[in-house]
Amino acid sequence: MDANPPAAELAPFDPASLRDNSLLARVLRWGLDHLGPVFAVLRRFWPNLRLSTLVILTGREDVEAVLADTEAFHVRFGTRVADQHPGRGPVFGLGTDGASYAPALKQVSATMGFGDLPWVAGMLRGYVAPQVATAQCVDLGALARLAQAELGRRYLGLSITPEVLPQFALWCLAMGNYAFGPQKPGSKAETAARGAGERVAALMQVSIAHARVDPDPDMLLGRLIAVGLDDATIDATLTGLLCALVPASTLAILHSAQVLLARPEAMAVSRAAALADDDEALGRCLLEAVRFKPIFPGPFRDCVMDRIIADGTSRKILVRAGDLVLPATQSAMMDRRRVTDPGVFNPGRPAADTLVFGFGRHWCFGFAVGQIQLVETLKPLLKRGFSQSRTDRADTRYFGTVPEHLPVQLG
Amino acid sequence: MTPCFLTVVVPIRPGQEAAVLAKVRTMANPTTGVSAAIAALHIVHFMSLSVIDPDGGAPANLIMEASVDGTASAALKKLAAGLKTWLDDLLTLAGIAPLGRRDLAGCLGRHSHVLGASWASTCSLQGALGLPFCGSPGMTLGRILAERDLAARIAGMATLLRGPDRAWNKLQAVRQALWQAGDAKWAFAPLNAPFLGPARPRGSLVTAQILLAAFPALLWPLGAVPLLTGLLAWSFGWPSPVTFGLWAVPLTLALAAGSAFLRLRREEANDTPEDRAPNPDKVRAVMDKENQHQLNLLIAVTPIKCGWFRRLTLRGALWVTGQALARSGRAGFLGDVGVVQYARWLLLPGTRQVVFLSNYDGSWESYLEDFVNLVPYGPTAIWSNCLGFPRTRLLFGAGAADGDRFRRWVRRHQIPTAFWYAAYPDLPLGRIRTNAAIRKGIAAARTDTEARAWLALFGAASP
Repeated sequence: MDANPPAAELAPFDPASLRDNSLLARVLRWGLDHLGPVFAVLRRFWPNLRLSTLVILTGREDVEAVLADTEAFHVRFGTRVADQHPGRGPVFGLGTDGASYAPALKQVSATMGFGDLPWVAGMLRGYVAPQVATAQCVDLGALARLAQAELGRRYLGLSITPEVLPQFALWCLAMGNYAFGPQKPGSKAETAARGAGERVAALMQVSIAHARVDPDPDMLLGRLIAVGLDDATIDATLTGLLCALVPASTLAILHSAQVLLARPEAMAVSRAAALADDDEALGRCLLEAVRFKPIFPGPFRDCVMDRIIADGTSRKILVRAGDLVLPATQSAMMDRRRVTDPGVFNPGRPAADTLVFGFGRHWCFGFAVGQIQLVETLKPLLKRGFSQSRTDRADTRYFGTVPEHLPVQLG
Repeated sequence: MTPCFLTVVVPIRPGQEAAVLAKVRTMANPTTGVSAAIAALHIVHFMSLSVIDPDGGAPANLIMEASVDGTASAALKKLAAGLKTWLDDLLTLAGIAPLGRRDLAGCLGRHSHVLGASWASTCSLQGALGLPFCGSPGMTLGRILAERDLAARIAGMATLLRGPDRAWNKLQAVRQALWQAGDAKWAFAPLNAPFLGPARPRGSLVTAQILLAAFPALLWPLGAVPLLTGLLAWSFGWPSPVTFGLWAVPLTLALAAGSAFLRLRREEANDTPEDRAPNPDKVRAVMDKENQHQLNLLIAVTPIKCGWFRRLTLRGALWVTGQALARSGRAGFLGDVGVVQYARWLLLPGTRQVVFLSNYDGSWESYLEDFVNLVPYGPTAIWSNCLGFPRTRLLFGAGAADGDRFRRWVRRHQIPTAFWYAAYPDLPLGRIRTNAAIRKGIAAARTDTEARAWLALFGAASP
């Protein structure tokens, strides 16, 4: 039984508002794509920088210290997701640092386990492989986005008709764009996220109602019902998971592909792993690629009590309650004091070198699914080989920070 | 996280030594709650308080040493807040005026020392000649304890670990069980454990690197000679003053090395090893505090030989040892010795006393045996600069290899542990390494071979 969300009485959602192609937006995107050298200079000369109430930390040690200190530095993800449909229930527990974190972790861990991974891999393989089997060119942006949205639909057990799937994918991207970003309430990103959030919330209501009548124990929604959670908690949990499962993975897949396109040596190693059907090696290649272009410069944190970072060193900085902190994991992964040859593409480097999945308590809950999403989405393309002409590159269009249209040539 | 070695040295007002020592011993009583207060800080691996006897004209010293997570100033603030009453009392007894310790953390900070062996590291008031060593680099206290509990928890999953199934399937079953319990997500995040990595190479390349590093750290004062030669040549109008200066570099080095060699050999030939037996009462007092746990603390206070030359060779020995440990061998090992958790050598500022503090695994006998058999050259190079040490050859040779004399000498200079706190007194380094490997397997094992190696950590085999 599928259903579409009711269109009336929802906040407006204008996708065009996130398809900003103005000169300023292009300059900002260029800047985001070239943060590496800026971070390198900061790490060397000004590792901990304050810009008004924004504190940017670039050294590995200090980034890890902030991400490990959940008493003073609170994650924003849960509240940012809740902002998108306010007043509808509890905040996504895994995205908080309050008392609800531990019970939420227990609940979700009990329902989402390693046993699901073969199903996730098979589902993505079945979705992506036929679409690239014979095509000469594909829009990788659309393919990655829709594949993750389809995974979200089926894995979570949401009632979505096929024709709504493309819109659903954009809603998820809009929500993720705000949930992971620094934008303030009232911004274009927040307005779009709210519109998208209300549509997803309506979908959730319908899906939960359907599942209450006819629960499918193979899907997450059915399992959450089976453990006895109320509707509001299920809604918050699924929305939180969706905000990571679809937008974060889509972005990671596309960034990984962009790094492979820009680095022939990385492409060659990854392609060899794909042709050998060595998923483990391919996973390492793709994660290493994301290290060069992660999904964001770092996970923002709200400082809730005064803290001195790097006390007793020349990097010492006082972070005050109310400050917004950017522990720049992108920079920390390139810190040569802790990472050997950080500028070299090395899939064999220790897993601990990467902070692609974060660090500390909020290290990505979906790390195992995320790796499979990377591998299964890009493997069929790598098997055939893919490239991008200059025209294709110029034709890339963005939705927020996510490449929405990314044409590549196959074969 | 880089380990932090807090070393606070407070001079004790003459006549107050016994009172301070009595107070420190009182603090060792569990009923006082000092250990519980330290444990509540969640940053202290080891901590000890000792009273070191006066040396010549210098007063006795109270040494508070702690191995902690985080930076020194943050740790001092936490210690000052958590142990305020006891530390206040101690400082009062030691004769530090209340006005001087209004800010307790600041007062401790003023008396704390950063250990180092280069000229630059000891030229400040806070610097002190010494060498710190950590056997579990990169491991925070929280991580050590969490991995200990994780290993015990997995070892309890006997039904998953045993049986004829493939190693990979067993590992996956354990992962699934941990994951579904919902409180072990942290174990799946890979973290660095430097001591699990391969041994760094030893050999001539490392020796060359150490020699090169010695110029900016230790040998730069010798640069004055070529500089003066060049200046003289220039002032007298000789041709090519730069060439004169450059020629003077190898000549100066050769001269310095030659005279150091001759002086060292002459001193070593004149050294008299002490063969006195240790005082039985002192030994009994020391031994009373030993083997109460799997870990022990060794404190030895030894007088350095007279003269500037031995201070120079001590500096050189500490610096070379530190460089060799940092550049070669396995991280967390002293050569081939892997039982030292946290240790430090320190020349007490203003005295001739070399203090060695070591938190080590196992018994005193096996610890010393390891030094005698595996790395006699390390302690020899450092302790040979102290009075009564077994006769050495060219600073690094012989010495500790003379096992019986060495053991007697150490026993003679040991002092009883007055106060010692260990966050994990029954967790030897070998077990910490195994626990880290178990967690690493959970987080990062990707092949059947890795799974088999992981399973072997529990003594379980698999096809």
